[in-house]
Amino acid sequence: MKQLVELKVNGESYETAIDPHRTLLEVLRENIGMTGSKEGCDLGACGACTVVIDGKAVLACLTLALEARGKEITTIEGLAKDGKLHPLQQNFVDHGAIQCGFCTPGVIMSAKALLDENPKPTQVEIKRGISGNLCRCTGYTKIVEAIEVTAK
Amino acid sequence: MRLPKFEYLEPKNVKEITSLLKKNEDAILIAGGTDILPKMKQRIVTPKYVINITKIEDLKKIEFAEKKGLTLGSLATLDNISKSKPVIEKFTALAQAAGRVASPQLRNMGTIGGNISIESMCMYFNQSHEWRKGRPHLCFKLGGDRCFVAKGSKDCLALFQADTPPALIALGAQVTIVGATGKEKIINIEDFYTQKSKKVNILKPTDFVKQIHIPTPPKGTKSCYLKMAQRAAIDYPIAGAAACITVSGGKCKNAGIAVTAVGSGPLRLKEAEEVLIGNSITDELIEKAADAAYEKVRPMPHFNISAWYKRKLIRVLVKRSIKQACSKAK
Repeated sequence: MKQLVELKVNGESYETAIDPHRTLLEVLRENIGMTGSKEGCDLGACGACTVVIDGKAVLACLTLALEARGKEITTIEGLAKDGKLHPLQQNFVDHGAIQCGFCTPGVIMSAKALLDENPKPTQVEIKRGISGNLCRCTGYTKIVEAIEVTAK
Repeated sequence: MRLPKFEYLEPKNVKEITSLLKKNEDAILIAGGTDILPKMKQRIVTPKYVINITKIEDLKKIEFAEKKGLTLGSLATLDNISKSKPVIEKFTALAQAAGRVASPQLRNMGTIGGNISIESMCMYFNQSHEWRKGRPHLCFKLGGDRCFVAKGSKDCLALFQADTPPALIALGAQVTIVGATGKEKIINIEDFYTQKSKKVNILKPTDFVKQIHIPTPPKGTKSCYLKMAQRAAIDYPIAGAAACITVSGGKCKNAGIAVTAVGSGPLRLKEAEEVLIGNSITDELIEKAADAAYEKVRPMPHFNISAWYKRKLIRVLVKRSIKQACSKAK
């Protein structure tokens, strides 16, 4: 049976009627229309669907939308403010850390959660922080560089 | 892949969990959801009711007191455990094991209760519905009559690969299980496992894990968990070993050694422990303990890992974990 749910995404409230078996990723993409978070493996192994919930990076494909009620959800769409890119996004562009771009929203959300918790991470900590995100283009060096520059 | 349809329930306290489990047959509990949701997507389990217990704040605590020891609510996340100060200082092996599970995102979601009750994994079982449908027979784990891991096997041979159970066994943890009557039962974590791949733990459909308790280790105790995996993250161990050593007056007073990913459950290696207890620890003695571990384990080949390699790896990991624990214990 459908339930009326209020989700707080990027500081704004969205009300939508959903079945309990819908994941947060499905609701974000299909009901709310935020297609920034990507569906990769859909089984929790790739990190493409990473969003930040209450300050922690989690996988939207393995979170039930009903579970996310009353929590602060941040997606890639919530980073740019007033038409200006978030420093992480800008550095990803400047350093060529985007190849095909499919993993980028997930990596940036992982990096954001990491930098919010630890503003000055070492290179090892950065690599560990984004270890849950697979980049099929294998462009990890530039991703790590972009995050390092942002942390400086 | 979409999830199958189900009804969603959200208990607010521990009592409600028991009553919901008793009232609704074919219900499953979900906390982190990192193990059960993929299996539901693959239609391995299709419960009628899903009971989300994550709203119960009582079960999320990580409490430590010198006298009482460490109490972990079953909903404490692996990330919080691996970063908790008392756990890192006094229960190092657990912090290391929790910090090596899967990836940062999965550690933020996954709970200790879920990690210890995780099912065994198998490449013939953890597959999509379409994949499994393509095979003419069902395996033991899906209610069939054969095992694809080893032809002619009379039992399921899926591999148990969780990281935290060997650390908890080495540290002497106890699990509190709440049963159908609401009565609590406290058991040693070794007795939590059946050593049968088809049903890895002793939990009945109406049972759930409430908390895990580890007594404060005596002075001079140090522990260590080592994991070998093909990748540094998002991977199960090829093998993992935990050692907890108490050194007093130059001699080993107590030892706990356990390994994972060698069979149908986490394995405590009493033979290796006995080699150490009562003796002063030298490199030779550690070699002997590692040999005892090598003699005890009988792993199956898994993916591209041969049984021979895995057995040798256990010897190395047991040796190194004892060495690392001892180097800190002195």
